Amino acid sequence: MAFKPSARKKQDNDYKEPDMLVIMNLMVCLIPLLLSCAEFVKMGTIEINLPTDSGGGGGGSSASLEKAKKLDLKVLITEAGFTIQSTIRGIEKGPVDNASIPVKPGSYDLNVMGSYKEHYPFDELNAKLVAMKKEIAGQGFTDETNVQITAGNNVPYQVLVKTMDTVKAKYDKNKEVVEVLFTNISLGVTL
Amino acid sequence: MAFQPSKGKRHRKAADTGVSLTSLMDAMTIILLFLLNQFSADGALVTEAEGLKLPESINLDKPKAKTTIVATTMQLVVDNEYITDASDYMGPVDPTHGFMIQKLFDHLDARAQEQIDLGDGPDGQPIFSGEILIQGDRAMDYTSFLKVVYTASQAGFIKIKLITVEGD
Repeated sequence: MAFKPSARKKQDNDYKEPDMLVIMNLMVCLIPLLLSCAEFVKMGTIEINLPTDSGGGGGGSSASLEKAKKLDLKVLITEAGFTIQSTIRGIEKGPVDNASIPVKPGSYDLNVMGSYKEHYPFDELNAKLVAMKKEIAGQGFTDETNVQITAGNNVPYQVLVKTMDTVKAKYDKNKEVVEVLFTNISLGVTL
Repeated sequence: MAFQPSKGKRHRKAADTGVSLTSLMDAMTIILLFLLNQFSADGALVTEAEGLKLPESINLDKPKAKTTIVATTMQLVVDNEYITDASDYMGPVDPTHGFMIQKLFDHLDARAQEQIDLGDGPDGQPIFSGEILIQGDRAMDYTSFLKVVYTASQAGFIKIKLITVEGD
C-alpha cells in the first residue's frame, strides 16, 4: 500500500514575513527613552573662586606672613592683548599699550567661528605661563596654583572663558592635558 | 505577432497587500544605534537656555542641576523665572549701586533663605550648598558678567560655576 501523501507538501510555499510588531513596539518605547537621555551638545563647567581679602585685618603674625612666599600671578585682558604680572617679574610691559602679549592686528567677530582665537594670541600666553610654571617649580610659593584674571570692561565673556582654559593647563591636539598650570582661578576688578 | 500571455501569471496568487514593516524596521534600527551612541547615563542635567550662545571651552566637568542664572544680552532669568531686563545690568558700573543688581539680589537672597530654612537633607548635608550655575552669553561684556557674579556672591552663592559648551 502506498503511503499517505505528506500533509506538509500541501502547505503553501509562499514566503511569510516574521511578525515585526513586537519588535516595533519595543523600538517605539526605546527611542523616546534614549532621546530623553541623549546628549547632543556636550556641556561643561568651569569653577571660579571669589577674590579673597588679602589686605587689612590682624590674622597671623607678621613673621608667618613674611615667610609666606607669594607669586601673586595676575593676567589682565584688554583690547590690546594680555598683560602678565607677578612678584618675580613685576608687570611685563610690551611695546603696544603695555600689553605683554599684544593682539594680532585687525578685528574679530564672535559669530565667526575661531575669529577671536586668531585675534587674541592664546598660544603665546599659554607658552609664557608654561615657562613661568617651570621657573617657579620648587621655589616654595604658597600660591603656585593661583591666578587672578582681570579684564577690561568691553572684553567679551567668550575671551574670558578661553583665557581661563589657557591658564589652567597646556593641552595637546586631542585636548588632553599635557601639563597642569594654574588651576585656582579668581576674578579681579578694574576700576 | 504578439507573444502568447504567460500561463504562469494567470495562476499566480494575488500578492499580500499588508504593510511591509521591513523598511521601517531598518530606519528604526539606524535611529536606535545613533541614539545609543549619544546616550549619556546621567542624562541632560542642564539644558541650554533659549536665545543664548554659550562660550566654548575645553574643560568639560559635568554640570549638575542647581540654581541657574541665565544672563543673555536681552534679559536675566533665574531657573526659568524672569528677573529683569538687560538694561539693568549691561554696560558700565552704576555709581549708585556699584556691581549690585538689586532685583537679582532680592530673588537670590529669598531663594537662599528658603533653602537655609529647610535645614539638612536626607544625607545629613545642608540643603543650601551655596552652589550656583551661570549661563552667560558669549558676547556679554566682562563688567556685566562681574555684576552677576558679585550679586550672586552677596546673596550667599559663593560656589560659582560657569556653563560652557564643548569647543577647542
